[in-house]
Amino acid sequence: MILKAENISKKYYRPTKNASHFEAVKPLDFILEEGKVTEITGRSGSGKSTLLYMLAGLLKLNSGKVLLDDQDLYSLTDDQLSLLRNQKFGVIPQGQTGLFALTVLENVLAPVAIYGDTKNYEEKAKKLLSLVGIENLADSKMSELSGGEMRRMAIARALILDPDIIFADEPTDDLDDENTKAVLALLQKIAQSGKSVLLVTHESMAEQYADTIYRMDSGKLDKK
Amino acid sequence: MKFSSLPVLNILGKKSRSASLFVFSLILSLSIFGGALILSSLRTGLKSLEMRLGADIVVVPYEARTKVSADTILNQGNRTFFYMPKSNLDKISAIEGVEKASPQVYMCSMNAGCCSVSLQLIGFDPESDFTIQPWVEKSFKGKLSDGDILIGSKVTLSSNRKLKFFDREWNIAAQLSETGTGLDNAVFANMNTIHLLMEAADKIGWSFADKKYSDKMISTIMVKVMDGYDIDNVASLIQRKVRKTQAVKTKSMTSGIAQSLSGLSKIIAILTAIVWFLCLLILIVISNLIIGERKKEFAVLRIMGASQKKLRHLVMAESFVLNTFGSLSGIALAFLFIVPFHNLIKSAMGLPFLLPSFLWMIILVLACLVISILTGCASSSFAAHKIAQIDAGIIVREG
Amino acid sequence: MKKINLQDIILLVLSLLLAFGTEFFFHACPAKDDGSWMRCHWAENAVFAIGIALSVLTLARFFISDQKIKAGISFSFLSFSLLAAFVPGIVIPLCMMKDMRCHTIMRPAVVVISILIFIVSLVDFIVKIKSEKKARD
Repeated sequence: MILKAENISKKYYRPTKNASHFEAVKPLDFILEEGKVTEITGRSGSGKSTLLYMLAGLLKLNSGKVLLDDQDLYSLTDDQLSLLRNQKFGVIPQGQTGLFALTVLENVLAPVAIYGDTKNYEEKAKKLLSLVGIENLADSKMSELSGGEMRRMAIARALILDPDIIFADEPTDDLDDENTKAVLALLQKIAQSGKSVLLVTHESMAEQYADTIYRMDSGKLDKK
Repeated sequence: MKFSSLPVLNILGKKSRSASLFVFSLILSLSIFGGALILSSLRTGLKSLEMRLGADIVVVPYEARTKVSADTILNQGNRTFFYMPKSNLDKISAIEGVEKASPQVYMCSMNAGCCSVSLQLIGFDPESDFTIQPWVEKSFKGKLSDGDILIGSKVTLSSNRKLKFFDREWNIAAQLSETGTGLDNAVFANMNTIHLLMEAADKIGWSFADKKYSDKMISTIMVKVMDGYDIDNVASLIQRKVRKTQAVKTKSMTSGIAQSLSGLSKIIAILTAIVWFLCLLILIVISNLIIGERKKEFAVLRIMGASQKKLRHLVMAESFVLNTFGSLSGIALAFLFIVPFHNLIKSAMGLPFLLPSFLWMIILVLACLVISILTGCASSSFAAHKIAQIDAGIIVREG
Repeated sequence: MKKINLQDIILLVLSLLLAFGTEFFFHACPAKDDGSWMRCHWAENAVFAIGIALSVLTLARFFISDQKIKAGISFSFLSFSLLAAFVPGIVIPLCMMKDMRCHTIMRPAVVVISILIFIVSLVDFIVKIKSEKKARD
C-alpha cells in the first residue's frame, strides 16, 4: 500500500505583520514507503504533526492530493474515508487521548467497536497490552493511568485492527528510556512485517530505528 | 462491546456531567405532565359536575336562593337543608316546557359515629330522578330498598356495611363512583328512607322539618326543559306560577366555575410553557458546554475512524437515553405527588377535580414523554451537528 | 466514621422526614373538642416510630464499612418502608370521611415518602450486592 502526497499544503488564517495567513505546510510532495519506518523530525511548530494529520486524512488540504494506491483520499465521502481510516490506518495521536468513560481494555477495543463487535478481538487486545507492558491495567480507568501508560494504551489501540499504515505522533513522549526503546523497536518490527510507519518525533533515539529521515522546518520538508 | 453501548458507557462514566442533563429533563417532563394532569383533572371534574347537575333548572325555596350554588347543590362542603311544599312538584310538572321534574330532600347527620363531621343526606326518587339515578346505576343495579343507603366515594365503607345516623344503623347498599364533586361526601337514600331518617332524628331531638309535614316537604326540584323551549322563559314561568320559589338555571351555576377553571387553566398552561422554554434554553446551553468540553474525545473517535454520522448518532443517542430516563423520572414524580394528593389539591383549588380515566392518563403520559424527549433531543441536535464538523487533526494537535 | 455515600444521606433525610414530618407537618386530624383523639392519631404515632427506627438504622450505616451488613440493612428497609406505607388506612384505619386531613395529607405523604425509601433502598441493595460479587470475582 503506497501513500503519496502531491503538492499538498496547509494554511491557517492568522493575521501577522506580513501576511493574513500562516503557512503551516508549504507545498510539498511526499511518498511513504512500504515496509519502512519514515521519520519526520524538527522543532516544535515546524508543521510535522500538521503534515502527519494531512496524510492520515484528518486535516483538509489547501492544495494538492493525498493518494492511497492512486485513490484520492479527500475525494472520498466522509463515510468512506472514515471506514478506510478505521481499517487501513492506525493513528497514535499526541497527548492524552484515552476515552475516559472506558477501561484500558475497552479503549484498545474501541476502533473495533466502531464498525463491529469486539468479542473476537479481546484476546488480541490483551496480547497488545502485554506487548506494550500494561497488561495488568486492563480493567483500570483512564484516571488511574500515568501519562506514559496512557501513551502505551494508545499504541496498542492503534494496532488492534492490524492497519497497513501507522501514523505515530510523538509516541515516546512521557516514556522512560526503556519504554522508549521498546516502542521504537516495536514500530520497527511492524514496518519489517511489510507495513508503513510514519513517525513524527523529536526523540533523538528514533534515528537508530528509522529507515528514512526527513527534517521539517517552517513548513518545508527536506530529506536528511 | 459495540458502538451502540458507548452512549450508556459515556453517561455512566461521567455521572456528574450526565446528572445536569438528567435533572433538567426531569424538571421539564415534571412540569409538562404535572400541568397536563392537573388541567385534565380540572376539566374532567367540570364535566362530571355538569353531568351530575343534569337538570336545566333547579327550583329551590325562595329563602334558600342564596344558599344555592353548584357548591351547595353538589355539596362541596356545606351541610345544608331547606324545604318547600311537595305540591310544588305537581305545579311545576304541569308547566309548559317542562319535560321532567324530580324532587330531592336534603338533611344532614349530626357529628355521629367516629368522625367529627356531619354528612349531607340526600333523598331522591329513583323512579323520576334523572340526575343522580344515572350515576347510581353505574355502581348499583338493584332496587334501593327502604332503610338502605348509598354512600359517596369519600365516605369510608365500614366492614359491617352499616352506617349509624341518629342512633340507628342503616344498611349500605353500595358505594358510588367518584365524581370529583361534593357528592362524593354525601349519602343517598330513597324518599321513604329519608322520612325514616327524619323520624329517627326527631326521636333524639333533632328536627329538620315539622314532623306533621315531613313527608310533604321537599328541598329542591330538578327540572329538565323540553327541546325547543327556552330555558330562561321556562324558569321565569316557574317563578311566576309557583310562589315563594327561585328557579336557578344550572348553566349560570356552572358558568362561574367554568370561568374560574378557564382562568386557572390559562395560568397553568402559561407557567408550563415558561418552564418548558426555560428548560429548553438551559438544555441547549448545557449540551453545548458539555460537547465543547468533549471535543478531544470526539476527535479521538474521528481518528479511530468514526464518521461524522456516527458521532452525531452517538451524541443524539446519549441525549435520547438521558432524556428518556429524565422524562420517565419526571413523569413518575408528577404521578407520585399529584395522584396521592389529589384530594388535597381539590380542597386547595375549591374546584371540581377528578383524575382522568386510566386510558386517558396513559395517553397523557405518552404524549408528555414524546414532547419531553423530543425537546431534549432537539436541544442536543445543534451540538451534535457542530461536533461532527470538527477538524480532528486540529483539536488533537491543540492537546 | 466510614465513607458516607449519597444513598446514606438520602435515606437519612427520608427517614427523618417520615418521622418528624409526619409528627409536625403532615400530621393526622387534630384532637376532638373534648380532647380525645381519633383513630388516625395512632396511625400517626406508629409511622413516627417506624421513621425513628429507620433513622437509627441509617445512622448506624454511617459507621459500618462491611458492605454485606449495609446491604442487609438496605434489605430490611424494604420491609420497613412497606410497613410504613400500609399503616395509615390499612393496618390502622383512618377517619370515616376521605376529605379529612388524615386521608388528604397524612396518608399520601407517608405513602410517597415510603415509596421513595423503598426505591432508594432497593437500588442501594442491588448496587451493593453487585459490587460485592465483583469484588469476590
